[in-house]
Amino acid sequence: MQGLEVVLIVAIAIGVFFANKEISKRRVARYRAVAAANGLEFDPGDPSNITSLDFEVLQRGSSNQATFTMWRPGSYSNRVFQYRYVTGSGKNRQVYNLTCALVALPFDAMSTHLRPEGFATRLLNKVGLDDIELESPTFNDRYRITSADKQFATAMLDPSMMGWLLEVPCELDVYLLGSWLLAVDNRRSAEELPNLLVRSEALVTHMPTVMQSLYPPERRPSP
Amino acid sequence: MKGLVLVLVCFIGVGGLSYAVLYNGLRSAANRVITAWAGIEAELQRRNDLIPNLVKVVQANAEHERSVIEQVVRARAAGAAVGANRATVAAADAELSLLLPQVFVLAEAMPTLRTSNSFLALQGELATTEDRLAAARRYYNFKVRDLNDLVYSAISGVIARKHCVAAGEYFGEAKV
Repeated sequence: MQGLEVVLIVAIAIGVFFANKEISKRRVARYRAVAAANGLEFDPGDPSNITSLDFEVLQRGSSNQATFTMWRPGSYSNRVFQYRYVTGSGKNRQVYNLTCALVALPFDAMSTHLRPEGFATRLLNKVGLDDIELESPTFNDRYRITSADKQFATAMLDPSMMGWLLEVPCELDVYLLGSWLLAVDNRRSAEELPNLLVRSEALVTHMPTVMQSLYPPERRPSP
Repeated sequence: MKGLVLVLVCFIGVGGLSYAVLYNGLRSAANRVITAWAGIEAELQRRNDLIPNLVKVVQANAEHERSVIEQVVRARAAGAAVGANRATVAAADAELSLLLPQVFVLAEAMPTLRTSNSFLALQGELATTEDRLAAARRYYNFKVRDLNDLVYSAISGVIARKHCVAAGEYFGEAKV
């Protein structure tokens, strides 16, 4: 009887292994099809080592892993990917699953963070931890901006950029650093990845062209 | 009695520390306004350096269109005059910002200028400088707003008056 139990357990384990492999294969095929339908290249892993970039969100926790990367053909410059990291251990272990887009900037950005105002950030404002306040009260109510260089942030968010961000609300967490913009969203399905890339690229194209003159690009090697 | 002295010492200590923090904040804000103004001056200088070349190129091709060019030269001289105060500089800047596009409209009607590489390069340079200037003006006005918030607030305002820290003056019409 004991021998039968062992055989059963081994059979279940083998079944689970092959089922997982099949699910993973189908998932990769699904992502590949979405990428092809949108004219993007695809790799199930992280061919350009995105997690080596200095963004705080990419250094958070442990077991950081970028997967299902899609990018524009010809270069790795603009890409979108699924991202996962883990915080805590044991009972406090928490896995974070996010979807991110990385877009090349035509200027050298100071460390800046733009995100929609939420309950927690409004609370921070109340206790005096103010963000950068611009001339539009509506914009200040809707977005929280923090930057290592306030002059950089005010130049980037000129009236036209602010107007566009009010017209096309941005629900993403947007980080700028050096030659890159990183847009972070909650985990999205494969079908939504190309759209996130387009939305992130639109952010860059709406930034004022004077940024290239004020903060000339410092060419860094692509990760 | 000992307790009362202790309370008094603590009160004076906290008061002195708060005074120092507020005073430092006020001075930092005033310094940031000065730095932001220096940013505007740098951009104005950049534009002033480009204008003589523009005048030379346009004059060579449009002898009959002297009035706009003369106005540009006058406004440039007014803004760049030694000892010109901020209001004069702002007025000259506003005038130049209106006149320069007129020069480019004028040039559009002249085929020799429209196709001249040096003119096109100059036009591009001036357009970039105008954008840089707009960013510098805006940043300066933000810094003035920050300083004025302190100068016009209850406790900082008292310290500002005591140490002769005056409210800043906005550049041009823009208020933030």
